Amino acid sequence: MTIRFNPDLYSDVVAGLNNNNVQQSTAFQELSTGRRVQQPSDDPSATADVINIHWQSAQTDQYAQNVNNLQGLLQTADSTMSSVISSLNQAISLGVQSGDSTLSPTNRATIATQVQNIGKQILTLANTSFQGTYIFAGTKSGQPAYVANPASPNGVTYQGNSNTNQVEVAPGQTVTMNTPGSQLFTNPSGDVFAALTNLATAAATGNGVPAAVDQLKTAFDTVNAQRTQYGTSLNQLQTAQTFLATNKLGLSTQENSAVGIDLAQAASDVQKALTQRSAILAAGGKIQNVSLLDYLK
Amino acid sequence: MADLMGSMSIALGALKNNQEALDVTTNNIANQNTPGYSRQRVNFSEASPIQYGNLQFGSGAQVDNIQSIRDQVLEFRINAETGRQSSLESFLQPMQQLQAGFNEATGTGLQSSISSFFNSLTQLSTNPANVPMRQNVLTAAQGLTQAFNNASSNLTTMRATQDQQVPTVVQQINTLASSIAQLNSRISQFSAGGGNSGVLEDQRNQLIHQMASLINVTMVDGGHGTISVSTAMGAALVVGQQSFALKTAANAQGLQDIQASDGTSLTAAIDAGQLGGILKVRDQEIPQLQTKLDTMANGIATAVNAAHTAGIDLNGNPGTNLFTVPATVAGSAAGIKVNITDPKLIAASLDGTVGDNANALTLSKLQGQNIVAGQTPVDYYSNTVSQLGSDIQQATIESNTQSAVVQQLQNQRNSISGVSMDEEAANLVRFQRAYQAAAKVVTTIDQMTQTVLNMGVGGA
Repeated sequence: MTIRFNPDLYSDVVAGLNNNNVQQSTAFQELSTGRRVQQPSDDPSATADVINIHWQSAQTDQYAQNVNNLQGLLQTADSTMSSVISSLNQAISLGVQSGDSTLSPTNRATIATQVQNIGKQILTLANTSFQGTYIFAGTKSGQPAYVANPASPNGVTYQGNSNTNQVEVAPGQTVTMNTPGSQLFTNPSGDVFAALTNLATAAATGNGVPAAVDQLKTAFDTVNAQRTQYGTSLNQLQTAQTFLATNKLGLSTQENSAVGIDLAQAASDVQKALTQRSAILAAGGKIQNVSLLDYLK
Repeated sequence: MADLMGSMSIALGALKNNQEALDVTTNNIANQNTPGYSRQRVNFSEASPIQYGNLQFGSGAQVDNIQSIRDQVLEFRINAETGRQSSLESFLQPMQQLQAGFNEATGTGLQSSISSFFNSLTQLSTNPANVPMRQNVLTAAQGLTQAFNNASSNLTTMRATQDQQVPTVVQQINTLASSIAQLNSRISQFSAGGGNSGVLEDQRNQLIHQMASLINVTMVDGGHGTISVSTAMGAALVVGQQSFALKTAANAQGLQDIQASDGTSLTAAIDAGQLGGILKVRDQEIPQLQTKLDTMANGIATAVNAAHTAGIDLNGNPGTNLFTVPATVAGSAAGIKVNITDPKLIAASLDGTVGDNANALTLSKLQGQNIVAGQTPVDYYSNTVSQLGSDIQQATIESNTQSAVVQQLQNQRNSISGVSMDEEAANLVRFQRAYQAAAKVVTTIDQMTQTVLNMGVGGA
């Protein structure tokens, strides 16, 4: 007795074609999307990686946006401080000028007024706001940092506090967002408003001008020293920006290696599937073209 | 009895036998593509000889029976493997839909909502008093709760869809069981009368095959040609000529419980066939995912609320809960809501001043902390999705293997029971020739009889 074979070869052909269809559609899908992983079941661990990568990527985007926001804020603060510095320079020149004992009272009065105006100007600068936030008021930033107060020795009252805000600009890296006015303008080791008030008085009378100028110079130095914080923060932002851009690039490379396709491989998969399909069809077409019945005539 | 009429009757018998054989051949050819058909064979045997003196003469051939060629053990095996395959298929189909909701590979899923929420807090830390940024946080929080609610309600809907299929499938099983019992009864009558029940057995095998693709099936020879069928936990579906219907009844959760005819619950034991797949999705995968979503929603809400209530809002008041969640973990994903609508009530400040961002920073940093079952939200979530993906991947691989096994067994079955055109063509010729030869014998005997009749005429 001979071994009997399955007479229905078409079932194998159909199964082969079905498998081939799956291979083809997978290969085409990979090529058209550029992704090896279309759904979690295609590669569960790569999917987990992708979730992490997307997560980090979203975080990186947010950090980058933070950096942009902060750059605006810190640049505003920094350029405000530049104006303050140049105003103070001007006040110091005026002070030196008022040290001339030959000046007429009228000239003195003019200089005193100019110094007072500089004081007002700096008060305005100290009350600079950015997007509704008074940037030199510490964290009590909902109201102007200073109000004029003739009763006070330095002519102003500080309404803010001495707190600073830290903002995260990269994983684990924080940047100081603000320097309070109490450190910049009304610092105990060099009060700008007190120095200007004293200088205006000294200039008007001609008494104690050198001391007043020295006081202003001390205040100037204090402001200059304190404002470097803004420079430091801006530098940090610059570094963070570079880091974030590199990080983003790294993440997209990681994602690509996790779920992207090898183009050559995918193209050759498609070719393989197509060749296989032709082979199955050719073989299928030959099956049982002839049976014994054809010869029984 | 070596006489002319004896030869004639042998020849007539041969004509009849070969005609029957041709019938069977024709029937084989006609059923070449009938699913479940087993090719039939005519079994001939020699008729009892006739003693004449010390000589024995053959008295021709007789048809013993018409036999269906099949391997019953193989049929049983095919049923079992088919049951496994259809269980995998009915498992995979809803699972594919399920994973589409977690398709993070293409960027749709919970992850983006969770990211957006925490990132909106990071953004708020750059300008904590800014109302539009506060509004962003509320919008992102709404988006997050919505995403949890949707994911949860998708699971619930899916579970209901799976559940709705149960009574339909049970109904099909019961119909099949009663048909099998009827066939058992007819087959046992036939076999008692010595008749051929090949066609009925084919039909019965087809029905059992269908049943195996719906539920666990165990088959036992019930005697008198009957096959008894039982399912999970040995619950009888068909015993001899009697069938036992399965019942369904809503359980405490409102889901269909499958019960044997005596009321024993079989639900937990059914793991094969379409029902097995449906139940695995309904009772294992979906509840597992639901629990994970609940754990995540609850973990995030609890941690965020704890930090939020430690802060101070824009009005200078202590923060309230940002999210409302049910007291238990279960139901958290469905029940999570944003508790506040006024952006000023977001407690971004720690020291109470409007410009302080310390609490916003604390809240945003929660995304990197182990706030969901000892893991960070992203780790917990990516593990969940990865687990789902690998369950599906595994089932897909099993399903591919299984369909190869079934295909292989079907081929094996075909090599035993399938109709071969070559074979049938050969038989056609063989029986035709035999018929022609027998007819020739009849003609020859007719001529001889004529000769005998003419003997007297010529001599007179």
